[in-house]
Amino acid sequence: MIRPAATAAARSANAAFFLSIAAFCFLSYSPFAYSQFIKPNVVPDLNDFVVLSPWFFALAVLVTTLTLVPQLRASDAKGSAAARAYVAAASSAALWALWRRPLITIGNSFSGFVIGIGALAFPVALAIVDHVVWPAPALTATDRGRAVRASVLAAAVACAAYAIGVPFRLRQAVGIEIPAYGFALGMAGVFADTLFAFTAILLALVAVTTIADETRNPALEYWLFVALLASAATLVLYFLVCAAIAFTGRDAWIASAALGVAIAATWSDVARLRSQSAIDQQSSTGNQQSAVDALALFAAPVAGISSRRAAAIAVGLLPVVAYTLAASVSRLDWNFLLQKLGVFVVWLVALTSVHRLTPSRAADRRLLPAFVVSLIALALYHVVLRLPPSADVLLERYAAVDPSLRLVRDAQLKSSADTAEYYAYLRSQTLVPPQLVRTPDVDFVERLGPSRVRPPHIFLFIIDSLRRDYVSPYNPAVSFTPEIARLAADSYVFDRAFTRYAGTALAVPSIWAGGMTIHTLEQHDFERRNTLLKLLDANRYVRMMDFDHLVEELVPRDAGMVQLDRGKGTMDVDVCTTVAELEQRLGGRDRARPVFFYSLPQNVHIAVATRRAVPAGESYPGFYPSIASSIRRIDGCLGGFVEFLKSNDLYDDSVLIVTSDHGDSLGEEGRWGHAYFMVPEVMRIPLIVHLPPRLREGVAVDLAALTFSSDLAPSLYALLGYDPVDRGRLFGRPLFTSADADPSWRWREQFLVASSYGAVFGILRQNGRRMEVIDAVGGRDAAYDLSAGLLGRQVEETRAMSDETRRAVAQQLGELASVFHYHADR
Amino acid sequence: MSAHWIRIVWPLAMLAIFAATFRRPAADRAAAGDAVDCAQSTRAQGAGRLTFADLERCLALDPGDVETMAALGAAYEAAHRAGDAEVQYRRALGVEPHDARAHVALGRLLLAQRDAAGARREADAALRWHPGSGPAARLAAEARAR
Repeated sequence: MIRPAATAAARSANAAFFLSIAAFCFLSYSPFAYSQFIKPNVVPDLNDFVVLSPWFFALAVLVTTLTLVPQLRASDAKGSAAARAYVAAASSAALWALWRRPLITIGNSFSGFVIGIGALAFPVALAIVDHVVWPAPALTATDRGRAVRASVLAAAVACAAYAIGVPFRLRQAVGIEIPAYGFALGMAGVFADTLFAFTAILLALVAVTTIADETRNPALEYWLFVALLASAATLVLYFLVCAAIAFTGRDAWIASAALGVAIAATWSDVARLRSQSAIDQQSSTGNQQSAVDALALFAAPVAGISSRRAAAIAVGLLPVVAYTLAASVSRLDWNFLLQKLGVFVVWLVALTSVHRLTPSRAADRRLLPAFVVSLIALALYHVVLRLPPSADVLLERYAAVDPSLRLVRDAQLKSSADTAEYYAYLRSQTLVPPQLVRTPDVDFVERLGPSRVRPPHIFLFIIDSLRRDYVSPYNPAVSFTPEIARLAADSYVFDRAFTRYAGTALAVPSIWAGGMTIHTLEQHDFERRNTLLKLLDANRYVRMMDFDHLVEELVPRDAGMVQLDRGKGTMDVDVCTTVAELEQRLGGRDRARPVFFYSLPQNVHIAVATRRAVPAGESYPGFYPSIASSIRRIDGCLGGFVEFLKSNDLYDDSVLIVTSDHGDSLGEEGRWGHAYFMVPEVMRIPLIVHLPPRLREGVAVDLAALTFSSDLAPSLYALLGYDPVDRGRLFGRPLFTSADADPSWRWREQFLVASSYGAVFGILRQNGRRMEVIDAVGGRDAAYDLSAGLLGRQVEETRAMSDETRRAVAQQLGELASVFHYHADR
Repeated sequence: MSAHWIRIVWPLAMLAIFAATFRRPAADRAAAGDAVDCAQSTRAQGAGRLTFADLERCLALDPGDVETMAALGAAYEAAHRAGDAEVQYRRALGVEPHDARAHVALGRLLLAQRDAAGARREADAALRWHPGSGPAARLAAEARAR
């Protein structure tokens, strides 16, 4: 049966293409996903896919046409009309796509949504065609005993598939210590949770069979299984995927349902094709003897019908699949979303393969085994749920290296009523629709005129994702940043520097604005509160800068600016090439005007650095090699630039700032990159400021006090001789003060910090020695002692602290909303 | 309800039980303490209005609160209990070794006790982490003049 098998493979590939198209379109349609992933081109492969997609479409139509040749040739063949209609429609659409190349131009528009839905019509239509063309096998009602045994065994198999990979994942993770008994406890916990999940699936299947019993129609049973798959996929897509990218409401439900239906239709299509061998068998032996169990037909896409070999291979390879799926996406994952989706794939493969391998006992339709198993699963689950807190801590650590346990534990968190209400309040202050905000005018100086001080040149390097513990002035174990160390020796190194926001999207605006911003991804009328730009314009600075996807919405392009890295995308900005161009531009500058330079180089960003091979001969024990190697390269180029400034007599007339927009997770407790999580390694940043000698005179700098990157703008005002007004704790204040200024407020005050992407807020207190986080996305609160070690460690949070944090966050969010005239519509 | 309907309904009922008991409360916040409230009231009322007992109670609740240590040190100093004040300043510096204000406060206390060398050390430490600080510079000058 080569033809059905080959056709099944073609249908799978065809569906994968259209599902990818739809996923891309829905991502583009979501303002959040568009601005965070698509626009800055975080995943370059996605760009290649978009460019090549019309050709893939044509290829998909060609392959599909080949599989339908018999129906296209013979007009009396079964399904001929449907096949012809499909090929005609698909060919027309492919030609249109080749002509218009819609994915390149959709941007963030409603057409993305329409095209996404349209793309999903193709696999659904093809499934209908195949169901007309290919005959259905004779079915019997589901063998419930077999389903029960398969569910229990599949839970064990899925649990083992992840457990085998735990030692390997643990080696890559940072800061997770699990004692031997912790592993045993972890595996027991995973089994209890997985068994609970699989038993819930079993109960849903059994419920379907009891309903279908009423009609005594096994085909209905099968179709209800398919409907169940469509529903489950819809729910997972909405509550897991859409929620993770802030895509909610009616459109998100429609998109999720369309994807769910397309997945189920393709599944059923492949099941129909893979069951053709059973039909041959049935025709040779008689229908009743070899009729297919309805659940076996549903399991056919993975395990087939006729042979157990494919199922055995699938089960054997499952640990490899589980590990590879998680490892291949972990560096680029978004709040563990892809790893969690991988768990569903592994579970589906385990369930279908094990079902195929489980021997069938004739007509076992008893319900009692399912009832008994569900009681046992329920009991086991609740034993684990009621483990003492010390055991729960171990399970939490184990979950960091076992995605299946993480999936269940994240899903099972339930907030109390008051917490749920508080979280709802936080969500109302998050990703605020820009039309509900009235932008205030923010000025640090009234009637801003030219400075009485001769303005120095300003060079602002914001190295995306640079962690403080990867720079030698903050960590003596770092040996790969000698040039930054040399610069630091001649600069102010701020020991307690933080970002206000755990992501670029709001961290960069906060630097330009010199303070916090209302939580929105579209910064309308930003020029009214762009205090840094106002300072530059008042002093006739020539702006030599990169225009990344964020800054192009914050800073206007005008005749007075010099754009660097012209033609490069945000993710392509490399500090070395930027500096080379800058040096060239500085040579030809208008010497009557000071220069302001800004760049957000991406060398260290996890999506960029991990693609770069570590040069032979370099090794970085104790550090993540590709990141450390990228920083070594940056260090060399920054050192070269400092030498350039010195040799051109510019160094002693320049403010040179090296900092980052935020840090990054590099395996801490299984986290990678930065998303919603607000953790020490993401919030702490390096901040090194070199001042010209003439500006150092008479200023005092508290290097041990808590500082933010949003303090830079008012600090530049102060350095240029202005007296910036104190706009309160939500705004920046000068790092450089008069000798007798009292900086003790920095040590006492509680400061609001936030995620850029979701309802996660925190408070920094005790001069940055404590950070308390309220995570309305993950449903967890956390407290960190930041004085422990280089970055800090998580500590137990008391109710008093938590209450105080909630009060402080709400109060400061209220102040922020008031500044922006925002009233949450709740 | 007939056995027929029980056959149909029980899996759904069991599924509902699974769904209803699936979730667990988010990690219970640990037992209440009033460390934060205490520290807050310390800041709100100012050290002058709090008794030694109040401040010591706050410190017992949050042994790492540098602000309360400094406040307690200042209160002891005002009460001419130099030894106790020194203990508190040094305790604060044990937690925040780079706190220039604590260095200056300790240096002033040492200078009052005629320990000029000790005061110079504290002034130098303060200036290392708070370059340009007026109080630290004045302390250094006075200590050198002794």
